[in-house]
Amino acid sequence: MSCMSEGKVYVEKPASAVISRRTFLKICGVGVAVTALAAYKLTDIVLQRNKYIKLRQRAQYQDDKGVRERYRLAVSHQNPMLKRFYGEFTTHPLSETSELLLHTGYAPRVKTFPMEV
Amino acid sequence: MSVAKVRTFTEPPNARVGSSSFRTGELKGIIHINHRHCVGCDTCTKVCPAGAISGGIGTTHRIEIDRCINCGQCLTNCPFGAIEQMAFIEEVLRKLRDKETLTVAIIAPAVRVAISEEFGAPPGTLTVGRLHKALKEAGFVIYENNFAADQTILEEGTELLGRIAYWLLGLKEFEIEVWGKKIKVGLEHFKHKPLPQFTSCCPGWVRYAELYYPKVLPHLSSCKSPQQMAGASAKTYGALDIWKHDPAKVYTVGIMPCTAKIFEASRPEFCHAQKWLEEHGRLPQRSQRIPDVDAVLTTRDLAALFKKLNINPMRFSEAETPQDFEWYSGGATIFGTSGGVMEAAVRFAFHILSGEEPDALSSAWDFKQVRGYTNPVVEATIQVPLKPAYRELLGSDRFELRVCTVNGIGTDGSHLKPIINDAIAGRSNFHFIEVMTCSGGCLNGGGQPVNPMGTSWIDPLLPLRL
Ligand code: SF4
Ligand code: SF4
Ligand code: SF4
Repeated sequence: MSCMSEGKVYVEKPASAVISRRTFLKICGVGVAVTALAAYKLTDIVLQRNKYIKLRQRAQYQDDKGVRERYRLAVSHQNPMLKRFYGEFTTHPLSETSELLLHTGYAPRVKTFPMEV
Repeated sequence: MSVAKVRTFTEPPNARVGSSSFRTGELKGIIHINHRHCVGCDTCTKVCPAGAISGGIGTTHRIEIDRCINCGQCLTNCPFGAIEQMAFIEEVLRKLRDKETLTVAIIAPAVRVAISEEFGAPPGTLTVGRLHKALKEAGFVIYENNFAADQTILEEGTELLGRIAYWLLGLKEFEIEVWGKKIKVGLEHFKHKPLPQFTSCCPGWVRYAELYYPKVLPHLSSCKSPQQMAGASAKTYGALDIWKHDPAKVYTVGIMPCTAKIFEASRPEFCHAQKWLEEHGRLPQRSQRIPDVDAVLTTRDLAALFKKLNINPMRFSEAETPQDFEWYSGGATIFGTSGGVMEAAVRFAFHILSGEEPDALSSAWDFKQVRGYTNPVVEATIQVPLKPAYRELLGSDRFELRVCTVNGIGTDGSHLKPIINDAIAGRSNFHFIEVMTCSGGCLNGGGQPVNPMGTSWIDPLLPLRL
């Protein structure tokens, strides 16, 4: 699979292939029907597309609720293993070990490649 | 209920050669349009947050990889399945077969709300215990990315309070109390950490800032994303103290709803565990680089891996007792949804500032006003009562914490740009801003199962306006 070497490939789709006027009209007729159908379908998609996000969101909050009901853990510091991690290892947030392992820095990429917004 | 098949490809030989907006080692071209399948419908251009796709209607489209932030939104929204993803399934399978290697699954919050779709369950089927069991069956040990999300909140929440203390109160040192322990945080270096603070968990957003808004970088939290915190902790504390396994033989796999995480794991600076181990004499000084996160599988990739191993997570039961790094809080798991990082941070800041111990069952510890749901941008002010020590410092009995949730960068940055411009110009009203590249948050990420309806963009932009 070459994904780097794609270069510029602007392939015109073969709609411009030579077709007779009759065929053209026929295609247009079919096209209208297909478009109407597609428009119907697409409206459906617009109505449906947030459904997935909403259902997944509901599950995410369901997990929050479950964890809080089962283990009484609503806030991060209540995590018993986390307490152990800080107790035995990094000591506290923003400690030296934390800064080394859990923090990072960022650098502009524009130096090497100026981008316009 | 069925999901669409997404084509994958393996890493091409030149993918880590540095050029233009990529440093040496960083993976290029994780998301790729297959020109044989692209029909030029232009959907991808309309969902790209970075304006990285070119091509007119009816012509083959092309991703300009130097502008691309690897979010994969074009992939999940292409109605023709023409967009492909770089995948590392075989590599992970090889490590699972190697008995000397301890293979760690770092499993992200949003995976548990979507992977069931790949196995025929209705969307929104929560899969935690059975996902853990299936992973163990496959040979992984588990490091919950939700555990790492709790680490993130402790670090990022404290950082936020530090920025507030330095910039609003002019303090040089700041005291917080966690687990009944008083911790002094030095604030000297906070002069390089201005307000507002932006979240840094989303690698799509981090690359977006690095590419297009370098001026905003000091505003980004210095915290790594949970995935990278997990990798670095798993190969140090996890290997040495919990699993008692040679850190050099620990192989960490991020299991993510996200394609930008594939890129993130390849960032050359992320070999902090190796550095720590060498400094502490736990690893011989060696030239070969050990990344904190060795490989990333998307939710789809994990489903494919399970299918290769004949494992169906839905066959197991949900009930389980968490062990070690399987523990996580409610605040951590909502990282997968827009506004979740914000809410988790607000819960923690509320606890620290007010001195109140949370009642997990009380809705007082829900902060619904910061949730993204299906709104592009959410702004909220939270009234936080102060405990006596802070009351004196602030000369007030409450603090107004002003926050903002950017629910998806939006087409060509439409949701984010006004917020970012205010922050750079110093006229932002907020203390803390969450940015997620994908609309709805990671649960709608580029690595998630693709539903046959194709599209999943929140804005009523495409394909039709309602
Ligand atoms: S959405 Fe898919 S088919 Fe349409 S232009 Fe983009 S890559 Fe081509
Ligand atoms: S939608 Fe995301 S992955 Fe696709 S081209 Fe744009 S930035 Fe890259
Ligand atoms: S929002 Fe989540 S899934 Fe989307 S790019 Fe960011 S981290 Fe990845």
